[in-house]
Amino acid sequence: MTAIDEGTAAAVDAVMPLIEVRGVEKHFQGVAALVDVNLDVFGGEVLGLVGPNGAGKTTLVNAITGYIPPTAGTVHLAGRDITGLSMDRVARLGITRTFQHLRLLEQSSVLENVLLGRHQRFTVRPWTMGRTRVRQEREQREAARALLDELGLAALADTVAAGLPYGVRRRIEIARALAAEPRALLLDEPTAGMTPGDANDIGELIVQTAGTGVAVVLIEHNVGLVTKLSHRIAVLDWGRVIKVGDPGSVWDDERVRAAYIGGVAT
Amino acid sequence: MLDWFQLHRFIIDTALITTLITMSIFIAFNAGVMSLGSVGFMAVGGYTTAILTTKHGWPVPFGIVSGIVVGGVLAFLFGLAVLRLSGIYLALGTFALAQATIIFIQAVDFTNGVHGVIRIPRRVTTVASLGGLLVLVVVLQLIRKSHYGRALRTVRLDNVVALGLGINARRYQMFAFVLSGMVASFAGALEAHESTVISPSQYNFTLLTIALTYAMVGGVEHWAGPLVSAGLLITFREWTRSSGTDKQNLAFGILLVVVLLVIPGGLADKRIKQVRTWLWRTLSTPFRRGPEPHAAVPEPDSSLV
Repeated sequence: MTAIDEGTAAAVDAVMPLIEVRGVEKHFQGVAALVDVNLDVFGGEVLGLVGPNGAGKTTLVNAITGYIPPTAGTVHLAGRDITGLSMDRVARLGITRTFQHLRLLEQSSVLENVLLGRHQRFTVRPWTMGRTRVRQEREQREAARALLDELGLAALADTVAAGLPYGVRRRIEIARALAAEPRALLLDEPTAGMTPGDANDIGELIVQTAGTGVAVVLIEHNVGLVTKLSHRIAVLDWGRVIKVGDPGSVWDDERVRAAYIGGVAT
Repeated sequence: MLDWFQLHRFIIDTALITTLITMSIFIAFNAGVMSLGSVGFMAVGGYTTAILTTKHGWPVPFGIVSGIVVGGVLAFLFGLAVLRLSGIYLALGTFALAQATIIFIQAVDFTNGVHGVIRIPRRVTTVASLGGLLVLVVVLQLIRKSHYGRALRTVRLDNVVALGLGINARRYQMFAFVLSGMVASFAGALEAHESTVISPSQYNFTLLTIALTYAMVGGVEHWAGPLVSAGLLITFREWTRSSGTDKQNLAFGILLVVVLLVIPGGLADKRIKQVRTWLWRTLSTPFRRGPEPHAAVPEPDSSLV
């Protein structure tokens, strides 16, 4: 799948990128983690974000989601400047992320974890009584269950998250992010440490998600998988975007090879 | 029954007030705010109603409500300052502000300084404290069963996950801190009308330590935890009163260490839950019919969570 197929191409809003990153820099006490990063992410596409360890992939995701404010530059979401907004505001505007290290509420059930993603859909107040309250809780639980059903997790809805296999827990984290109905989903190494079978399942889920018009940014070390899943790939090295291109050609670039093999970039 | 109640009225009233302070600490802990400020808010509640009822002739109920309001407003202002911190720094911040409040009360004239306020009308009945506690429990249960409860829990367990899902963690912590301050002020106001005499020195570290012990034994997971733990430990305290303060404090110290070592989560710890499940299964076995428990699929009852 090297070219964008027709079905997905229709979903890509070719006119305006959903996320626009312009000149973003991040310095940690003199160490430049991001240098003049420019990147567009379109709705309905999977953008692979690759690069050697320490290239700044997670820092870029952190800067977009407001987890750390960038030192310079701007981030726009659908034309709106979201630079420096707090993480929860960015999330409410429609960017959700997962984490490199799984962060589930371990002692809560799978359903409770996913319900958390639906937090923004609740409108009742704590003092709202009676039917509205009961109905809304039921509706949101049903929505969460429906999502779990779609992701093949329905049977585990009432199981405590802690005891489940790693692959399943990764899936739950993505389910929780999807429950928020985001416009953009930023996945930080969603298949790290997974068996190839589980990784492929997650891959399918990612493609499906992009198919619904969501912009997906995928940080991934597995070159085969990221080439297969992405519509475009951006390569980061030493905090700079050294190449953005289609998955077929990006690996042929000299600088990309140099970055990965460890030679001197020219 | 009525005789017994009359005899123990003071103990029961004091116990209810201590329980309220424990709940106030729990409310903050539940949202991940390590607050040590409850005793300060208690002083604010007590002094507000004491001054209003003795010097300005306000009726007692208005005095108490004013105490709660002033405590809440002060908690909000303090929250603006300290909720930027987290962990041990937050705990120290709340403690410092609470101590500053008590020192302020000592230093100014309109509170009578170190002499305290005397002849506070004694109008508070057990019913008022009990009613207040019941209302609080209902409110806490309503919060617990709503998406607010889930959000508060997440803010406590993993702040970053909460933020990443659009939950305004600071606002939730502020809500909990203000509620905690209001409950502590309520307890302080009740206490003022119970003992009729208050002075700055009574809002001391010992009181904080006792309430903190109750709260920690109760755990942060469920409001029933601090309620049960306060109930049990106050009874224990009254029971052993004749043995002297030294032995009592020693027993409490040992208890706290044991709890922290064996069940760090207090009564809400998962080990307690395991024991409870095991007990329930063992005790109910003779009465159970049909297939073995593991063969039956338990009915998911998420509404109870």
